[in-house]
Amino acid sequence: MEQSNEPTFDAPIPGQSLTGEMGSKPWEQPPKLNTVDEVISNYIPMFEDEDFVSELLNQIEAGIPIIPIVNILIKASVMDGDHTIDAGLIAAPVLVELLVNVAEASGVEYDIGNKTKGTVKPSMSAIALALKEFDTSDEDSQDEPELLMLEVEAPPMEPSMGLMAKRGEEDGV
Amino acid sequence: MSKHIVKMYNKIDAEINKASSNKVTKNTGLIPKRDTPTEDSDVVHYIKQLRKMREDNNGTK
Repeated sequence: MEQSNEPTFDAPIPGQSLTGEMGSKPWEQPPKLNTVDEVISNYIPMFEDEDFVSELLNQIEAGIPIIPIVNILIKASVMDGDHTIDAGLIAAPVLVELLVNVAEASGVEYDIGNKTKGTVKPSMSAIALALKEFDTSDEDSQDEPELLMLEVEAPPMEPSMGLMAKRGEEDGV
Repeated sequence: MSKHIVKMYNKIDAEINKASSNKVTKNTGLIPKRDTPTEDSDVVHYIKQLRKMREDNNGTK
């Protein structure tokens, strides 16, 4: 993949988030739901919406693990100022279990995403690095005989004529 | 944050599995023993209920 060296200007300026009036964003306001019970009961009506559930099942069927989906749900609610991130984190396991129930009830295969898989695939950068190392080691092994052949005697040193030269050197001794 | 959710989920999962394998002895004294589970937390209770519902659904199929 080729990366462009041109700077992008569509990213937020550092410190931009601090330029707004304090309390102007929903997450800067006190949360609407304070207890874990309230947080959980806020999510349950979502599962009564058929469109939402069918979209959710499509995502699960596509192979997206349940935990990242729950993560998105929680972050969206935190952004809307519904609850704090801490309350969302505590309620998260219940949401995971709810989604598992929905998936099982619909007969959709799911992956919770809490277990590390046995075979870890190397990342693209690791593969590129290994290939680069392989190439350089290959080049080095080819260059070695040439280097041996090019070994010649060093030319005799000419006596330096500078002011700071040693006396013996100046005399050519 | 997914990492934290995974940690939370695995912790609660282990807690539920441990609780189901260990038999809780009833405390007859006035003062409860230290580190004895008295009541499940809300989250553990909800998860237990949801799992029970799932098992029931699977059983009826």
